[in-house]
Amino acid sequence: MNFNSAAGQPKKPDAPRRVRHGIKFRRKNGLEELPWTAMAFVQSIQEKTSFGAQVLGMEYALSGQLASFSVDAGSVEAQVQGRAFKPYSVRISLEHLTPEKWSEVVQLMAKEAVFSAKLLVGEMPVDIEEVFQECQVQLLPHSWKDVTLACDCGEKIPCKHIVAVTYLLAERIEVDPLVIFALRGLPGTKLLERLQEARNVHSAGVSQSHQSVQLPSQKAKLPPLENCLNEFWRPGRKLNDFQALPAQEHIPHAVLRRLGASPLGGKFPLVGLLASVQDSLRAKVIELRQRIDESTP
Amino acid sequence: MFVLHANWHSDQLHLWAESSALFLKLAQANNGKKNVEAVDDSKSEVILNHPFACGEAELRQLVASVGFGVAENASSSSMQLVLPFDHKNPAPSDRLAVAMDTDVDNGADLHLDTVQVPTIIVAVNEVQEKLLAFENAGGLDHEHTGHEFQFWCAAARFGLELMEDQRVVPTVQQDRSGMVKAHWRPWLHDAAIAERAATLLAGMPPICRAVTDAHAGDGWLVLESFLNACVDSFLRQVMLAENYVEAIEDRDPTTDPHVAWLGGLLGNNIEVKNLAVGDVSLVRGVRQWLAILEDIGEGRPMHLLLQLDEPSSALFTKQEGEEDKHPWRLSFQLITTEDPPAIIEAETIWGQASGRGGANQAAEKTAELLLSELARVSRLWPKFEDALEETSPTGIDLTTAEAYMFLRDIKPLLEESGVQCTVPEWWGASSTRIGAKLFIEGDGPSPEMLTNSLVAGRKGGFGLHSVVNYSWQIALGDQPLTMEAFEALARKGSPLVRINNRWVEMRKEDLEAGLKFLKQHPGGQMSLLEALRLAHGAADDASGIPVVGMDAKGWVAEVFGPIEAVDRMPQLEQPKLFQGSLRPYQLSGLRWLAFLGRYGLGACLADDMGLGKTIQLIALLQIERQDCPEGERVGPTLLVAPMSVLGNWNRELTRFAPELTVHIHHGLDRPQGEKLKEVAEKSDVVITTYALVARDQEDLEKISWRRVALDEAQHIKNPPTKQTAAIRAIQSDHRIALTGTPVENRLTELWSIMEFCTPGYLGTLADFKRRFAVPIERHRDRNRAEKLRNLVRPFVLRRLKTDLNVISDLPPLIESREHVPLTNEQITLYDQVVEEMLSKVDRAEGLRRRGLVLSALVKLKQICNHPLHFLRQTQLPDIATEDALKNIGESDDSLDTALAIPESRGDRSLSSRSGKSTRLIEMLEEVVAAGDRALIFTQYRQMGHLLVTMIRRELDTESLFLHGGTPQAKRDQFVDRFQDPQGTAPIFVLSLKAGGVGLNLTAANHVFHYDRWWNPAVENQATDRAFRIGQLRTVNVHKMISDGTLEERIDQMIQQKMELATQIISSGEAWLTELSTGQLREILSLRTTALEDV
Repeated sequence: MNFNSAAGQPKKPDAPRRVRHGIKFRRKNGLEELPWTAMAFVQSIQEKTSFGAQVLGMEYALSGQLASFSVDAGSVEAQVQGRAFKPYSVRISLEHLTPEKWSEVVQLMAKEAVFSAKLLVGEMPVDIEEVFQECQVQLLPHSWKDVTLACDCGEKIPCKHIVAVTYLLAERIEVDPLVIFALRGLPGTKLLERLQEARNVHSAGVSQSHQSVQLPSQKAKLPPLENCLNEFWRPGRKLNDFQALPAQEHIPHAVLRRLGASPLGGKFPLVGLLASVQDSLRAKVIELRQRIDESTP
Repeated sequence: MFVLHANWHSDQLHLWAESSALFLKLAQANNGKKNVEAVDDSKSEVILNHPFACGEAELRQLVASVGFGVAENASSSSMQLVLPFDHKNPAPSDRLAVAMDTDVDNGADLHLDTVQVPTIIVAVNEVQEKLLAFENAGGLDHEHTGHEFQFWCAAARFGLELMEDQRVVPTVQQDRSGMVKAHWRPWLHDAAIAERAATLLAGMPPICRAVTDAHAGDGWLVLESFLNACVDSFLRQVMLAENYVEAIEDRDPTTDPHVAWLGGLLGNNIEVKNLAVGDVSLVRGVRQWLAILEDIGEGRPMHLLLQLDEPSSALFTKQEGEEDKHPWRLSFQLITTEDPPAIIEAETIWGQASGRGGANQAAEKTAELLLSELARVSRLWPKFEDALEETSPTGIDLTTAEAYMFLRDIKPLLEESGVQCTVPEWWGASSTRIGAKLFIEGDGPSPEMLTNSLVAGRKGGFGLHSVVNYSWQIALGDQPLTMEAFEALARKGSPLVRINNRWVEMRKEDLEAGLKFLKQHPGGQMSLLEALRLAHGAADDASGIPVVGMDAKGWVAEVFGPIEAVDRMPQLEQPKLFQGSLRPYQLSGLRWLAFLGRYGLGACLADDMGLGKTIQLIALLQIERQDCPEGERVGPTLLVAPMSVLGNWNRELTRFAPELTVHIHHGLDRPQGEKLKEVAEKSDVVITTYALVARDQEDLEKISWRRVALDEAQHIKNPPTKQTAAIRAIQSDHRIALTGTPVENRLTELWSIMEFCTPGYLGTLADFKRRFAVPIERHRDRNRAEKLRNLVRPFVLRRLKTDLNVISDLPPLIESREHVPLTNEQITLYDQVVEEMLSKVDRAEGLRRRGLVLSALVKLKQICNHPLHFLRQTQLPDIATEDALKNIGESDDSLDTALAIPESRGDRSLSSRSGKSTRLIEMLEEVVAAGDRALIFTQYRQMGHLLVTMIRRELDTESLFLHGGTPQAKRDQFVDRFQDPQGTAPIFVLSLKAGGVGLNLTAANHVFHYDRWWNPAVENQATDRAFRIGQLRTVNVHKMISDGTLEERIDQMIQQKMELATQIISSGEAWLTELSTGQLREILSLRTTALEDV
């Protein structure tokens, strides 16, 4: 342990200690052309930051002074190695939305497909902030007051450590804009799930094409016989609907072709034989129908 | 009398029957004493033998007699069913109940119990064929065939469809003993098929699942087992017939699992033998293999969406050809399962997912999904594997031949597997397929000369039988092709070709057929009728090549040109003399009738009941007289209508067109021969009945008619009756048929009506059945249905109350009075009662006099309702019924005859005894056919019973009946059943004062007041059961009034707001008792103007 006795405190070296495999800010053009979402964070924090802290913070970020960086817990948690022996713990957090507010936001977003489409490919929809505003909340920070900052270095906050973490956060947001949602209390992937759930509720009964096919046995059961005593002998009205459904166009060997080759490992050309069985079958059914039709009195 | 039933029980179709004789015996034997024969005394639970089920010998006999061909050696058996019981015996089935006239109340307290019935078994391999042959022979319509046969026939057809569509798979299954069995099964797990199966299941009558085997109570298991057995048995028959088993004869099943499996599939043997010991890999392998079919990517938030784009037209230098120069692009997208779905291009996905260290989780996930979807589809089309070789595939390029293969062959498969495809819009449109186009040119004067609606037909050159010039041309959609161009295309041999910068499909078979067709059809002359039939593919001639339409010149273009004819028809004002105002859709109906009439072309106006077909025809009569040049005269129209609406026609004509001279050709003193001719020629309209046309055919034929019009044209029947033949024999310039039944759904009826309007147009009946009725009704052939629709479209106009442009014209409530005549029987009874009363009141005074008047009043109202309503009620000795009965040859015996079993469906022997019920049944038939629902109010419970019986028997329709004695619980149940969209009882009879205030019956859009309260407030209260909040449709209120009777008299008084009216309304019928004998005679006795029956 390297304690500096003069002030009763460990003496700090002039330069911060190096971190092996530290997390580096890699953007080639610095803070140029950051997406608006990332800029919102940078600007809010810079508002209150001294010039010196900004410069040093950038130096820290570029040289990889971050020992860890994570946004998984709903806030940014990072370890920044300064001149002290132990890295400082930095925390950047936004106020989380209440579950009720999140529900409101999800409901609102569910109304338009564009949100889902953008989020699915990990993009932040441009008018996202309007949705939040409509719910009387905000997603992005608008000023330093919107962000809660903490660092245990004891310097004036925002310190250079916080600045370094901010730049790393900006870089992260550029790659994965959905992390911002996590900072408001709902991870992006969760939001997507909630959103799709909500949108499927919206669409009950529409667009059947991708819902799983259910055999009638899996659907609503018929009423028990006891409840059918008054209509015991008569077909339901649906029987007319059944007769009226138009026939579908025949797709030759549709089922067999979807099956593809047999995985059973036999040598006998099974699928070929099945195909010719099905052809014989079709011919025989047509023959039978004609026989019945022609016997029309 | 008996009723035949069928149940699928323990994998076999069992036939059994109820016997009316045994049922009567049971009823007579005892009121409710149990008629038990224990099956097995040792068991604690005693199963009752069905007390009125036919025994085996009788059953065999009757199955043979109804034409359900079962082999003589068909095995007999028995089964247990769970049936509704009334006290200690099974309740009769609905069919038997109708025949026995029991349980019309349908409020009986029923419970379930088990009975044993003797059966005979239909061999599994014959089930489908026998059922369908039975259906074809008309077996389902008989009153001795249980309604569940309709279901079994539908299920049998479903089975055949599945097989015809090759939706069957081989399966294998290991039972508890370890034996491995192979089966053929229908593949029901695709969305469209599963939907169809669910619809079928929802239509299953409960009796079908009233079985006691392994499927007890479970409708789906019953249906599935039925389909499984039918499919397996049919396939094995096919393979035995074609000797498929030879294919594996020399193969060794122990080394080849395919051969072992086939051993259980190709013949009658179902066991899979010679598997290596303990080898379960086959069972597991097959299961995994079949699971592929189920994989439509369910559970995934997104699915593949493929978009095929043709090469940009800017790339081409020429208008035509160059088909193989540029590639087509099939691009990949993902579509979410949401609504509205989000669509994401592959480019976007890769753009986000790649490059930046993979931190973007959402994008990564989406990209993975795209790849796995591509892997899934590459199973269906190896071409997709090209894409998987790239790191970030966004689509694949296709040659024109590949694009065609994708469109024609791959796309439907992909869609079944849950992949959506977007393709150029021209694909599948008829305008991009090659076909023959007919050109016709009509000679004769240009129709512009004829600015009015008058008689062009008579002046010659028009009508369906006029001769037109025609020629054929090969066309691509609407673009005609020269012979050279066509042959050049044929030489190319490419399935997709470019013409005029457009891509079109060019099927090889179409090309060949086209060339052949042109050689055989150089053109010439034929009748317009033949030409139209050809143009709509209703004639044999155009074999092998689709007819893609026609082009007409001259007057023909005006009528049959490509644009919707009605839109181009000249605007018409409502006739000046019309006393009322026509709604916009009625004006357009009038315009249409006038337009076709001008060319002597027949028309069928098939508007929904309540839309005013009558006044459209009346306005037509007026407008052609209005347009008639000075000094000329429009010939008379012969209007043929059922007896029950004669009075109505007369009344409507007088009301809306008082200037028209109307002759009602009816009654014993109707003019004959020359006299009739004279009268007719002075008239504008001659109204007569269907029956009289046949009787007076000779006289009627001699008159030169402008038009023959049929009301309730469904009376024209097939096979043709004498009436039908007589009506068709009468010549006229123009023919019109009015009907409210949905003609397009009843094809034989449509044929009959069209055969009247436009004789020969739909070909012979046999030809029509072969070409249209069978394919459409049996095989649900969409193309044929479309063709038929196009073929008849110029001649049939049907508007529904729900049509948007009609609905906006309609008020929410339409009230009409249905004036009906009395029958002879009613007249006799009515006169009798009036005379009897009048002779007695003279001598009576005070309370007794009042009593006499009131009781006579009730009797008269009963007689107006139905003779049986009166006769069944009348047991009091002081009433002169005995004389009345003698006069009309009525006796107790004939009461029974009246209630005896009708001979076939459509028998109207019960309703035809009363003018009101005749009309009611006619109208209800339309209500039921249109899928509408009706309330019928009567003051009398007895009449309600009679109506329910009548409706069941004559319309084969279930109705509900609610009266003062119906307990509250039942009321609620009835209301629920009636309001339930799936409910099977579309008619609700109510005999309640004020119609049961509080009932909400908004499912009804027709309300009938069968007899009258005289108090509009009370009637309105009843009407309000249907016409209240929640009612979205127009409600039609029909008030039934017997002509010439006190009903009509009192109705007039109320309508004219006579002084008496307030009294009538406030006191019901009591005021009548205060009238003098003279006044009573005046009000009660039959008016001579009333129509008598013949």
